[in-house]
Amino acid sequence: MTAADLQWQAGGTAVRSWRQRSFVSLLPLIPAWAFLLLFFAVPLLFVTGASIFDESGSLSLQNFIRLVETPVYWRILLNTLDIAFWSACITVVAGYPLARMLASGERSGSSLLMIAIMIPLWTSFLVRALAWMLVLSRYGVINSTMLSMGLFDTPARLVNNYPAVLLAMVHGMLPLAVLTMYSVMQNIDPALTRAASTLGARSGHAFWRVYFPLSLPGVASAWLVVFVSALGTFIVPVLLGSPREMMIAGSIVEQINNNFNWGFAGALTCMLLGATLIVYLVFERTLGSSVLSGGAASSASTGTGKGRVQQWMRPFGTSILAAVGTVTVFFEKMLEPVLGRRRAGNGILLSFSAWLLVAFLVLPVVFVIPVSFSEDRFFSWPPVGFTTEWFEAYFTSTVWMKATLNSVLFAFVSAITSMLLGIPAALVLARRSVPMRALLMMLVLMPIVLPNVIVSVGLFYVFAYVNLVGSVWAIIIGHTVLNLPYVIITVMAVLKNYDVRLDHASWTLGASKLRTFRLITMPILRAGIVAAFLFSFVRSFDDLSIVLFLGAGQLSTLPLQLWSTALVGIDSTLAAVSTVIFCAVCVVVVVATRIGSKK
Amino acid sequence: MKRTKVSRRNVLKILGASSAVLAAPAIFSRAYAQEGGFSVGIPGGYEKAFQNAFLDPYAKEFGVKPTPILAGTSTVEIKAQVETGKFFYDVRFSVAATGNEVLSAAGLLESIDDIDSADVRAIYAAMPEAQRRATFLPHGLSAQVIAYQDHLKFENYADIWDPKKLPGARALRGQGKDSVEAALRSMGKRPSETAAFLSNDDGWKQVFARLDEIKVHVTNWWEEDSDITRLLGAREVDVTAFPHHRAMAAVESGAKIKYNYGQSMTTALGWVIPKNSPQAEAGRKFIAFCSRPDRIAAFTQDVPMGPMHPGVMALLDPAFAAKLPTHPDNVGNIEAEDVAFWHKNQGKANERFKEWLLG
Repeated sequence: MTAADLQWQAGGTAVRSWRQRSFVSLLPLIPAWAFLLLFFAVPLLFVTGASIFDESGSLSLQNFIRLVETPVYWRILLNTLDIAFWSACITVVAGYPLARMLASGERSGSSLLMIAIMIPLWTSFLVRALAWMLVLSRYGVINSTMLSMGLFDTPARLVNNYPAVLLAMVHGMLPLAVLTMYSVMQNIDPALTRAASTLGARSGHAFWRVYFPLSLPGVASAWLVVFVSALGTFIVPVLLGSPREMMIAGSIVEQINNNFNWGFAGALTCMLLGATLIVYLVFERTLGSSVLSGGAASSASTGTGKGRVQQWMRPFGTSILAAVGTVTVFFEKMLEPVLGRRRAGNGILLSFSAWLLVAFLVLPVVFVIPVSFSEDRFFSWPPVGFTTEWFEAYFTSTVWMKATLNSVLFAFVSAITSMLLGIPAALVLARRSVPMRALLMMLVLMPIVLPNVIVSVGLFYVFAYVNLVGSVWAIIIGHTVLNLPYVIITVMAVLKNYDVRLDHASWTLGASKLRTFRLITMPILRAGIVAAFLFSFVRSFDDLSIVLFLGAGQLSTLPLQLWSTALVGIDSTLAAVSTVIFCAVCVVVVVATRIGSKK
Repeated sequence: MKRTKVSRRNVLKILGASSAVLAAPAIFSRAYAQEGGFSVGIPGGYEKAFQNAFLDPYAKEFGVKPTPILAGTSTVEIKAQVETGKFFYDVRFSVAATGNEVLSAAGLLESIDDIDSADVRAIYAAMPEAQRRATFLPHGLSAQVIAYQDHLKFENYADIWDPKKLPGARALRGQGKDSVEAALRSMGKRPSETAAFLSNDDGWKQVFARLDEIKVHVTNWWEEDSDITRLLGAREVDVTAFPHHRAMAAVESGAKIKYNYGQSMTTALGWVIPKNSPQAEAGRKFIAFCSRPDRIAAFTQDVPMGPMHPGVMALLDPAFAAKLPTHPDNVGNIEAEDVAFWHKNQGKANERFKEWLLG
């Protein structure tokens, strides 16, 4: 840590010269925030604005008073925070070995790993929930297998409880966490770990005291992304949970849709955002700012509470890591006689747990494949007979084909747009001291936290004024609002370990700023940018409410078609579609890794 | 190095081309409105039946093809359209009677009871006075049936409440209104008695005490009709109460379930026209057309909601007609929900219900 301090003192003059140009250096932030203000904050006011009026239309706090006085919503909020918190923790811990394995860059099986990670990402949220139903339900995969083997007498209750919700959440969020952590780990110099071993550290120590701290920015931002994404879920708890797993997003949607009480929905939205803000501030003050939102920038403002908390925490962190390292080395030594030093050190446990996770990621979706050929129409196990009816329904329908094309188009354009807006903003946020950073970060997180319905209803009002409702642009803008946060967070995480001195060196050697960005910064950011692009693409690919509402029913996409057939409840086209997507993802990943390895 | 140069001209070219492509659908949709056609909002899942029974025949007869619009939640969509004056549909199909209550109270709907059509008048006349609404013309009834796996036998709601006699996984809808009504049925109360029984807190207490009895036996608190259809079809749930047309479709598709109209409460589903809709006149004409017995009969064959026009039954296959809730054999078992009461009490009931569920 002293090294970092020295670096800072040395860079003091540089800081001062930045200050003079601070406005200019903050310019890249403007497009992103102007976009979010215009297309997220303003629309949000249209929805939440109703909360400060009573039925007669006069200013009133009655919605908030009612909210405070109704304990049920506080319990639902606590549920939501609880589920999101544990989902985030489990996802990050479980995803770490996988990300590490991916980053270690072993060629063998890396495309299989990638496929495994991509699968849940590409499967529609509805299909994922149904896939878990298939596995866990009364006569589902597990129960019917156990019953037929005679291990169970009666079907066990595996679904509609807390663990089932967590399981499905973790499953859906793992790709997000793994790819975020991977993009950071990719830039950790393997020579550092080797240097540690040369200096006599056993691999346990080398990992915990060298590698792990360097990967922390990835861990922290993965946690944050999963946490905020989980806050806004409501399909999973309804399908897989019991009433105890009720989540607040569902209540908000219910107030708007069923009770027609926009005022109260607005109050609930404020409550959810308030809770998110508190969690974010706690996160920033403890681990966040040191690892995610630009430690460099925040330590410039020494003497703030933030700095003190961190300084106070840091020695603890170091000794905890040292202790964990010692424990790991102890186990390493125990395993040594069995496995031999090299293998014990090389983390056989790591690859074991990683492959276990691969199975966890892929299996539920794999069970959907036989169902897509089943004559049974209720998404049930075991599949009955054999039919290609569902595939025919998909491939022979121009509606489905057009919807698929639309989805790809929207996803592609909105992903590109959010990268153009997001990457410059992330560069500034990660490197400069930005005034009102917490507020700005909150604005970034908010679109992830809120149910899409809120965003789309609000945007409808804005677009109605400019005659954009029903146009492709409305959907692309709407999707960019959803995607932009993922781009900013992911790229910021990668930038945390980015050594600015590389840029300085490049400039000293005569390279222009643009050239430096293209030849130095971009290659280092590549993994982060690819991950950001993927998240954006997929998030747009999976959206329902924005297309339904802003598309004004004229533009169809894959999720819209899936939703519409799923509403009938007796159609397995969605199983067929997810099988098709499954195959497409496999092909794309295999081809991509082939091309990559040839280079 | 051979690379396309990123010049200003190239960038402009790309931008121009891509925006032309992207703007195209917007131009199309505006062209549509100019033709004097109109749009109909149709909830997901009904597109095909709607096309066959209403849209195509209408186009054939009048030469104007209405544009079908895939619609979501009617309340939100209509509020947003009326408040902004941007209409993406001029008529909306299949709004629940409770939805009409909410929209109409907020002044968001046109009156349609004065449509000059004998069929429209016949449908209104067939409804009890208390349920007629000027802004809402029903096209069919959805009746809650008790549905169960076919190796079991549930006759009424009291059976659902008797897990000792009839064990099995129960499911109820996770909404205050539906579960409270189910509890009232199990206590022998009819839908028309709901308001009186729940006029004081004592009634509510009794209902929730009744719900207490069943709580541990309910494995699924479902939300969407499609979810419970799947759960029943996959044998995850043994018994529930859900809409009859869903049950009929499930049986048709091979679900091994049975159902009956014991103590059935019905919800009317119908047409509405958003306030100030620019094509309201065309919409009214379309509604009149779709209220013709032959059109309702055609739609009923695909989506078997209970027809409310007295002239429809005679046009249907007798064996099929006998399964519908408005058939003379079943009509004695059904009774309409108290829309006015639930409009007033739905929010509070649901809040209390959620609190009870969490407890």
